[in-house]
Amino acid sequence: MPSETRVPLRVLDTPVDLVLVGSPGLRDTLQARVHSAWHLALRAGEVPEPEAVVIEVELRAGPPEQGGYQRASLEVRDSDLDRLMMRLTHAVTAAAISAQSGTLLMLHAAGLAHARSGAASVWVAPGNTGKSTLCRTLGPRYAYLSDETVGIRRDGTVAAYAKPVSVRVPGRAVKDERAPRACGLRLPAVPARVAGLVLLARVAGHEGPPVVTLLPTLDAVQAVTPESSGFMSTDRPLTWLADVLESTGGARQVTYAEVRDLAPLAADIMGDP
Amino acid sequence: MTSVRALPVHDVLERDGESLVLVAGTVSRLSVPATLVRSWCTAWTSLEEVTAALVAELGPPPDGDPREVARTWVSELENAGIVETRDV
Repeated sequence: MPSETRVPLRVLDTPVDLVLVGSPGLRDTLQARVHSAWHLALRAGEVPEPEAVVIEVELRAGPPEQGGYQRASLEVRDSDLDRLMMRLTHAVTAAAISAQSGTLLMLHAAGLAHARSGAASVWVAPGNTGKSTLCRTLGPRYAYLSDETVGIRRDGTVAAYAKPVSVRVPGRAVKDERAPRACGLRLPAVPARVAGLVLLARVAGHEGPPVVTLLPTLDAVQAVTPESSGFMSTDRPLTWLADVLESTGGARQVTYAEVRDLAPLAADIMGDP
Repeated sequence: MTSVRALPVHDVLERDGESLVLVAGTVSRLSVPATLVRSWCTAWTSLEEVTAALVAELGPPPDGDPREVARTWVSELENAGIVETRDV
């Protein structure tokens, strides 16, 4: 029996090989969970790619371990499977962002696309402010690109990061890394291309329908820049971001209370599902 | 005599006379006068020339000495790492 199991992924245009190690029984448990949670990111054909980033993952026996860990580590080990899955997501995210710095315009955003046309909406927001909820709420009628980071290529097409959907569970510090299919999510049938970018501003007490404001380019670029990754490694990133915004009608800022109220805006950008 | 010269930046984005400048990992937003000052100072330019150009482009400041107003703009740009100055 081999001493490791390889799970090949492609995320943000980056080949990532997860190498599962450890005892065979725990490895089987881990493999089943990883395959399920990362099913939309599995690399077709499992063809070896020499330039793949390798992340070693081990589900250990024993009681849950204490102490901190490195989000950007290429080794992820834990005896708590749920926490291991969350840390694995962090590690894959960090590895892909590092690999694509300077190549992709990467925005901290949820990404959805029309399943057949590929028209994509990019919903920019800081962490823990509703991106995963947006994907779970609006995503089943469209197609899924990411609940974390959207990569934009120079030609305006989108590099998907179809990771597990990270769902906050009340009373728990560890997010549930949920399989996209369990949330009714799928990939688009055609390459996705940015059709509109929205800055999310959720206000719990907001009353009435969402208020949408078209931002002037400089305001929009200034607001989006803090929610980017690898920006300084990118050639002329301000200009690139402005080109993306202006070629898609400009950035919109939306103030809203409930994500379901954003359905008309989603349809305005991507078309009716 | 004080002279001013723009420093290399990672990227500049101009719209409607204002600009965003990316330098040393920070995005700074420049007003119309600051954007003009930076654009005029691709080579060493005296403060007197900057002052004259600002007055010609935007008119005399409603209050204050034009040279002091120009010096203030230059000082703010210098603090943001967008221009450098020298006294000769």
